[in-house]
Amino acid sequence: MSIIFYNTHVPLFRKKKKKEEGVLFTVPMVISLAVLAAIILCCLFATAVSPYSPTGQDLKSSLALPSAAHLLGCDKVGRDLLTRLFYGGRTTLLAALGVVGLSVVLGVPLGLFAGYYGKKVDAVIGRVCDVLLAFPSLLLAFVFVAAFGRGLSNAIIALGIVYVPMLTRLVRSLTMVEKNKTYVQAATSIGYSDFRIMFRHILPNCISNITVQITLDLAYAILDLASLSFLGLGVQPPTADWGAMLDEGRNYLLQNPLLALSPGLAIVVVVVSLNIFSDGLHQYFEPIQRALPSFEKVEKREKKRMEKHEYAA
Amino acid sequence: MTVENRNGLIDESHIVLKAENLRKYYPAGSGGFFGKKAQVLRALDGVSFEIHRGEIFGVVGESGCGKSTLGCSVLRLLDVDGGSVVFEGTDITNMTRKELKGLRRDMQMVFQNPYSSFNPKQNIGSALREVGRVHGMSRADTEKKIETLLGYISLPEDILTRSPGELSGGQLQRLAIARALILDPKFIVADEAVSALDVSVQAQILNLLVDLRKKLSLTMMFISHEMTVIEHLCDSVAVMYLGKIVESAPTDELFANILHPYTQALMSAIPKADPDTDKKRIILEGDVQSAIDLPKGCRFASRCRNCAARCTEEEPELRDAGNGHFVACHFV
Amino acid sequence: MSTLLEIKNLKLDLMSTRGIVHALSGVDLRIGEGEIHGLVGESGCGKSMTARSVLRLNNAARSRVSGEILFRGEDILKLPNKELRHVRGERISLIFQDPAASLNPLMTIGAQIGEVYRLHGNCSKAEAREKTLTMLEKVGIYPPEKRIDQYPHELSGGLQQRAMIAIAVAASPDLLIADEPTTALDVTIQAQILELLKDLQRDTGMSILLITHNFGIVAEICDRVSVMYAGRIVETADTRTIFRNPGHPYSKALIASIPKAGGGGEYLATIPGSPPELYSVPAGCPFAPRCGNKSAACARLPEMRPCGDRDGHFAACHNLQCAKEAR
Repeated sequence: MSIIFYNTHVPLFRKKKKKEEGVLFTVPMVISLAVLAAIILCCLFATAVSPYSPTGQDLKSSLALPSAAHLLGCDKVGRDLLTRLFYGGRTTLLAALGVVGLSVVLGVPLGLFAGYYGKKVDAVIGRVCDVLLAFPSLLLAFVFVAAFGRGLSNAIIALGIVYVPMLTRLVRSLTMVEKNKTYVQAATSIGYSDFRIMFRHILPNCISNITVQITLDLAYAILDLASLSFLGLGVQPPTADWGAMLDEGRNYLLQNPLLALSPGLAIVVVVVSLNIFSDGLHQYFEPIQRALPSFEKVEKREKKRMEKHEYAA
Repeated sequence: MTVENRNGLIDESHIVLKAENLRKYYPAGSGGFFGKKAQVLRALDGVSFEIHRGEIFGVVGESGCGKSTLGCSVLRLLDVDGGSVVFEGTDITNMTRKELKGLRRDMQMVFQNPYSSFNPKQNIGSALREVGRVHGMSRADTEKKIETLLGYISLPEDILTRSPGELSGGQLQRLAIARALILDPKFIVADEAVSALDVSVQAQILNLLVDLRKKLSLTMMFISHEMTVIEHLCDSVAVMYLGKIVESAPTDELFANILHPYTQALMSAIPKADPDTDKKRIILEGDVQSAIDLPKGCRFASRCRNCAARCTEEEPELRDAGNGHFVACHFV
Repeated sequence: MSTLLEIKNLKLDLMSTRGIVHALSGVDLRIGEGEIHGLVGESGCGKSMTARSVLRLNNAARSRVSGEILFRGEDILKLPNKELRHVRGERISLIFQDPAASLNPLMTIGAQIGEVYRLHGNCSKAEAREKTLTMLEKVGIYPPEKRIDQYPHELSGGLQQRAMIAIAVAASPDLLIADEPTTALDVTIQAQILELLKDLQRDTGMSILLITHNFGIVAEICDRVSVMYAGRIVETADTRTIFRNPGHPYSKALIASIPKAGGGGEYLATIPGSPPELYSVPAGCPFAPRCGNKSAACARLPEMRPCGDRDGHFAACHNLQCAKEAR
């Protein structure tokens, strides 16, 4: 071995990787995750959970109030409200995922290019984003839907495009920060191509920030999709969707207020849970703000680990 | 344990890098709209030197003197605004990025901050292997090379599974040096490579460089602000001030016979780790100026204790003072 | 020389994302009146933590302190907050490494210095301004009338550090703690700042705790030195003794690894291994795994014992290496 450096028995670093401290699952996180999980599961497995069909009409039960047979009652044409809530949730949530997915596919590369190349590329992409941002998101969605027709897929595409500028801006500023870091300069000096640097070096370092933004965007997407459906521009009947249900329900507030309240409440609960979850994620990713366990807890854990080792030895 | 006479390792006939009258200017301050003249920051204002094969060429100076800009310019990580850079006989001054890609194998850089030199989300093994892969080395060759280099830097194989956040500054800097050597480059620029390290770790890295130089006949440009490190490691030294070289000489010659007033002040300002040294020091008045509003004449005139009328009129050129020693001062 | 500050068995645990870090494991330090005391060590040894602990600047939620910090006999760790505020900035001041980050970018330096006079000296605005002008001259910020209304970003690194020193000494503290005050500065500016600190100490008679990793600075201005390793003080002595006759193997090795003038291409002496991570407190001497001179006794933690050559020279080692007679 080299005479210059070591005695070989000197330990260089911890042999096994140490688990990081820090509570990801703080109380707010756990609650919000539990709520979201429950809702998502119900919506995904709606067929198993509910015996009714979301579109099957039963005029005899029109506007029925809550009972043992129909837990939340029925709407104007006799469809079970709870079932429609679940199926509607499936539509809304999947559509929201579609919106966010589209904005990521378009927005993240645009942000990377704008931040990395700067100057002209940044100017062009920046102006396009500025134009898009100048319009209120719904208004732009109207224009799109007016041009290309109603329907859920058009609504998704419209909103996806509208969400691109926010994401592009975020990714652009993250890229600009990372670009000045030494490892990017090192990659350039080794001769890596721009694409490799952008997608394989810079992007992984931005993922945590992007994730927090995406979670928030999901919440916005749900609200915007609901608004579009409320105005009749998204989902078309008889497909169930929370926004459309809100629209139907407001006509019957006196007969059965739950028709409007339940989809409204569902939207609120999901959006708030997503916000809390995103907040918790953000706090976890910022080591300074991360919630840390108390001294006693960690020491107790260490003690147990030592005792286990001694026992094993 | 001594190494052979430093100069015995240098191949004087082979010039690896030649820079002539390099200039790099940055726009600074606002110009145009209200008629204010656009200001220019003269980061490099006519720098010339030669580096021979096997030589460790030191560049020393304080912040703002342009030494880091020089390192990046010489590797063409920046575009230069004037002068020329000739690498192994090829003029690379105006080459495009594409043309330079082929040459990147032969010129590498080691950076100051070891903690940020590596992608925090990529483990070390992946980072090192990527270098070989991008430049077309076969997997087997890359593995073999990495193994050899790990032996040189005295780190075990399982360091390849670690991520940069788990390692210390010294380990990371050694890995950065290994990364620079994977492609067998002909020339390495070390930009303040030991400045961010503790004294004992610095000693390890310096020993490594001395060792590698013997084994691989490395040609290197070593940039630093610490004269003691430069004296220890380098064969020849250039002292920079505000974008120009004010003094250059082979190391032994320079430190035996410091001529330029700035270099004298620089040497004198270093606190010596010896409580019995003569404490009389040359303390410079004022601050290092910015390279934007340069006065006429010698750049060092305002802080120089030997300043005379001629110094504010005429800018001194680098003149030969014998023994390979060049100085830019009117009074030497 | 009477004792101004005495730190006894200071222990500090910090909660980080990687677990509990035992930053300080029993620091004993004594600073006399009018003394410039150097605290030397490499990164991670705990010297900055010691400085922050003296003024209780650690985040209370994530740290746990024990031990005593006696300032003129009073234990700082037990002071109520109101009295602590009178100690901070008024009797003990702290200056940091990066002046650009430590000065408020939105206040002029005159306002920042004047604030000290108004808070700690109960001056009126006009009086504070007068005193600020005097202080600016004292620390070498010229011309004072122009600089007093400038913002930190308009000043160079050296001037910023002088401004920070001005803020720190405005209330005439008894002790100035300087945490790596010149590390971020150019060598020529560093020389100016060290001269300034020496002059201030001579004029006011205050003590200085100078934290650095640069032995050259220690040789320049410190009267006494303490060497830290892995959260403990391993040696303390006056400056000459540390260089001429170090007792602890770590101090010896550290001084030997500095490149010296005239070295030229030789291999430098290095210390094998690397400093321990402070997630656990080792049972014996923390330096033992890297020490070239260890014995069976080193499995037990060594206490600071007199080296025998000179008064005031202590080292925490079972196998002291220093010559017994004073050199």
